[in-house]
Amino acid sequence: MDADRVLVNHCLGGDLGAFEELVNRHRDVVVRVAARIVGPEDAEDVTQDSFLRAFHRLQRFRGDASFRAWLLQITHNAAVDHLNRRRGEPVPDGSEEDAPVRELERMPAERLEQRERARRLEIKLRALSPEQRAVLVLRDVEGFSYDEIARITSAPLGTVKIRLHRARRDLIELLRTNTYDWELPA
Amino acid sequence: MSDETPEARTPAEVRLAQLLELLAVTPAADAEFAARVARRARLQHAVAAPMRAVGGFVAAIGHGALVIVGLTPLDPRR
Repeated sequence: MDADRVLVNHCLGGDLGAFEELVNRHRDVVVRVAARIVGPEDAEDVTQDSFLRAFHRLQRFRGDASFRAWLLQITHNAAVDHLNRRRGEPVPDGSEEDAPVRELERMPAERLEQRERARRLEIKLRALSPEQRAVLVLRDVEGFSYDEIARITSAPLGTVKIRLHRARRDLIELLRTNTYDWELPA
Repeated sequence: MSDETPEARTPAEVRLAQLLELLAVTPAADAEFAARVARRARLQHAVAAPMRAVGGFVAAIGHGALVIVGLTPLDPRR
């Protein structure tokens, strides 16, 4: 039995320390996936919501998939719910892309360049649909298999592959039309 | 994590994958995060059971009242 399953069993037996351990083990991947779907500013709220939902549904964890994939399925749903609730609120129009970031001014040039590039990429990523963002991040950032992504996003395998193909194509197109130099080959 | 054979990617997709690696950075969290989530889970769990019991009790009283005034049969199948 894997370590997560053992912790889940302890948790179901009333051991809150085991749940805390599960949070510690998986917090990083949950917050990364949440941040890419809802944006970094709301990622911690969605992460907390995801773990609380998972806690209340632990009895439904059957163990036929990894705990991580099961948890990310909950995270994906929590992130989509969050976006649905937020719909109607003002959406960043990309003008923040050129906003000065004071803290960056004190960093070494190379790190500053990387941070700046990541920040701009994050903004470009938001132009994709939440479904495209989810598959792109799960595949190209987190390295999940197609089967796992299909399970996490509750989408058929074929849909996952099409979404990923379109997400890559659209993001490349977005970066190509950007004045910032992304060093993309033709 | 993937056990699939490597995908054939265009040069632009290879470059995109390199760029996306920049996003594989975890936003910082305070050390208390896990403990805070566990405390909230415990609190919600503690509140949920009595709330369910109260909800069931109120529903039963409501149903009883409707039966007394004759708006609902005692056995809904009749």
